Amino acid sequence: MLVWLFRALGIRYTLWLPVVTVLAVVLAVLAIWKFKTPALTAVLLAVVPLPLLLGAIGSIDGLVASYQVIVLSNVTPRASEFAEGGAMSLVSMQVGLILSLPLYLLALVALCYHAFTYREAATNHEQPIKATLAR
Amino acid sequence: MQEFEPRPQSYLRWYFSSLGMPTLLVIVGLTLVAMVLVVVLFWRGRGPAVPAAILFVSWLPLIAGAVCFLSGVIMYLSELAGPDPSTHATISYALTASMQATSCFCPLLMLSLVLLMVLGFRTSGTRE
Repeated sequence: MLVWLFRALGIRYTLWLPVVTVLAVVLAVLAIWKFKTPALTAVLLAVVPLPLLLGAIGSIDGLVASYQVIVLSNVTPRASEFAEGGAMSLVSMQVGLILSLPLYLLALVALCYHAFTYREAATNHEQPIKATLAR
Repeated sequence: MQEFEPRPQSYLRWYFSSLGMPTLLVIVGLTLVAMVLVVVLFWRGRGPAVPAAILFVSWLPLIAGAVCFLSGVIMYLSELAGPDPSTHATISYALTASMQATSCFCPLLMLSLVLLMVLGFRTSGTRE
């Protein structure tokens, strides 16, 4: 099963998918740690689907490659060969989707935390009153 | 001797037997969790993170459905490529899982949309 998975992903996507996922996790953690909510939302919306998008590119790449093999071969392809090409090319999208799940959950938890712990900044006319009361 | 044709299965029975109880429970459970979270976020959440959090939460059942759909299609295509391509249970699993996820996602999206509209009108009302 694992060998089939690596064969389906190919060396390029076996390397690229984890690298992009780690990069996306680092960017997401950095944004959660440093950014304020509007910028954080934008960064998370851009970062969370990155592994999935790479997986989709891998799927299309795999389909193109399998059809290229079929077109270039002289023999008539069987239905089972089409099916095997399709199955192997869809694996990268599946792996990309599974790799983006932890990122999605991280973003979800971070945004819920921001929403539940938000404190409104004191308005300008309230600040002197609060300062006086504090004295 | 009289031969009987096999009794056609009802659509609902086929649907639930294809989908399977674990997947059904996962998708419906995630939808309920997402629905509760959306309402709690609307009710108790404060600040600019609330709309984004609602938007993120509402995709939960669809993501689970997408994982089930892709795994079902991959299994089906692998079976087709194998020596005995006789069963079609995996493709019906994939299709019913995606259908269930979509039909759970639609009401959740409607709820999120209504709450986001209310939130938007409320915010624009307090600014003036």
